[in-house]
Amino acid sequence: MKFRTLKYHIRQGVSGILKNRLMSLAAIITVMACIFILIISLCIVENISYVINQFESKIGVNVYIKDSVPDRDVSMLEQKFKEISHVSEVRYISKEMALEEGKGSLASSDSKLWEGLEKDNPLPRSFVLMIDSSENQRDVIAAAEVIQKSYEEEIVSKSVEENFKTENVGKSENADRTETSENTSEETENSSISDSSKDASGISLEEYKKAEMSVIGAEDYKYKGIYKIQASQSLADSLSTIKNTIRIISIILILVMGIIATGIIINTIKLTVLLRKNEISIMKYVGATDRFIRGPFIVEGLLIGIIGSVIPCIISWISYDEIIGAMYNEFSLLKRLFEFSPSVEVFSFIVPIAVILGGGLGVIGSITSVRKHLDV
Amino acid sequence: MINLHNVTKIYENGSQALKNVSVDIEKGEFVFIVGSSGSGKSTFLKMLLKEVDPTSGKILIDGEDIADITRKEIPFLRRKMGVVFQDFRLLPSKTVYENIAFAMQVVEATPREIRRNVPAVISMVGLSRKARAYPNQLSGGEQQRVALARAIINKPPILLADEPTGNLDPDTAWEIINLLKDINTRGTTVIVATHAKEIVDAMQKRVISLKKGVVLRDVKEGGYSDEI
Repeated sequence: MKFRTLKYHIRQGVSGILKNRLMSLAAIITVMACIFILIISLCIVENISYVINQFESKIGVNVYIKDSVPDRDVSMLEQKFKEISHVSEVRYISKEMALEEGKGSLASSDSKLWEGLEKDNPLPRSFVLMIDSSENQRDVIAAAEVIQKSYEEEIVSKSVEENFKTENVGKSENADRTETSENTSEETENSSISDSSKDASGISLEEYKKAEMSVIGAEDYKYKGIYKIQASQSLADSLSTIKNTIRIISIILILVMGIIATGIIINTIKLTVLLRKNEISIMKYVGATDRFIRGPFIVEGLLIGIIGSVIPCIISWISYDEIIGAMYNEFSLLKRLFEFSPSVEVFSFIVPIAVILGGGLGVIGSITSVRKHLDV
Repeated sequence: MINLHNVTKIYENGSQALKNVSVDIEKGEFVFIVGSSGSGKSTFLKMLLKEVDPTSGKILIDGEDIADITRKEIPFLRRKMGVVFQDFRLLPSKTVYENIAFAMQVVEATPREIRRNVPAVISMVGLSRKARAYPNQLSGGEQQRVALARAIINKPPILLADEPTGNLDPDTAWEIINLLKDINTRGTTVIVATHAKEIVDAMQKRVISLKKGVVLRDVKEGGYSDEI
């Protein structure tokens, strides 16, 4: 297409809008109404998922560490937890922090209770593993349990190793050690251990370990390092269900609104085209190509669509901030529970959708409306 | 230039507009097509514009069978023909100048060509002083002159006029006919569908007379209805 023709189409399109002011206004208002409803629905959807994300970021997996675990192992564990996929952040909560948190949540209750606890803090250290999305919670828990198991095995094997060393150092202490093992192990096993310890100098570390490990049952692993992995599975499950539902609703919403808007806009533009049926037929007689005839109408539809979508975008952006501000003022508790999505975030998502949809509908409306009159 | 071979047109509602019409029109001819309403005059012109297709038969324009023309090529066929209607069909929102320039913009003429050609045509139809007027400020005769100017601005080899004087008083009608004659003497083939008896009689040009879709008479230099 020649640049001159394009310029002509734009000029004609603009003057078409100006000359048919009433119809253009009607078309713009129609587009505006449709886009407005769409924006409002998208705002709601966007905020619900934003709030869910906030809750989601609060659900984590708590991992409580036994006091006997040395600090250097704690940071080793932290590193391992960080490497689990879908873990966005690992938060360490020291004993003091746990106590503070406890005080905070029970501020009104008896403060003397806490004073006593400060001297001998019973609360464990813990990690909170933050998860990127609620549906990944199961995987993270499983991975954390694997780490727990391997760490506990490590502790046990270390202590066995140490026992082995001490046995080899002093055979004379044999009897003492056998006694202690009597306390912890069953009678039959006890004898086998004492057997192996008698000729400890001849046995290798590997064999000793193997023997020792088989003796220690699953029960004994507990309380050696991590004693609890805790998470709210049901919360995570319901959050991911809500999220999926919202995703589906928003897609349906956009589709339905799109279809309704297309129908209304096509009808409105059809009227503006009908008023210029004469003009189209004259153009046909003078030898205008279909493309040439369509040009100004496409420009017109595009402009109507863009104007009709930009205006509601501006209005709703301004009022969005106002409404959110008013909600916070009115219900000050709200802000402590969750926050609404900031307007920039919402509208950087909505504005392109609205403008593209508006402009696209305008163009589609024009093309379909003009097509009928081109058959002359 | 224009050849119709056994052209028949039956509309979907069953009415037969043309029956076995065979007509040859040479380049530079001035032809009247006469007949009462419903005789098939309009269908004849519409078929030349490929606005309606014949049910059977063949239409050649410049030796080309217009049945072979695709929908996309129709505009280029129409650029060979200027058209004038009884009801003028001017754009009320455009001035005289703009109405005529519009026909050039449609065929993507340069602004320079438009600036050069439009005033020349306006002065040819004698409307130089009204170039900036809008159609509703003009008399019927003046409006038809604008329509004529628009029809010939792109210098088509053929000019079709459907009842061009139908809405005009006799004096004004003559002005338009004289303009058509002028245009014809410059080499344009002119085909006028009319039932203005006095004009046809006075002009003594070729007359094709239609009745109920059949060519009743085709005389080289005749009147509206030579009594048989």
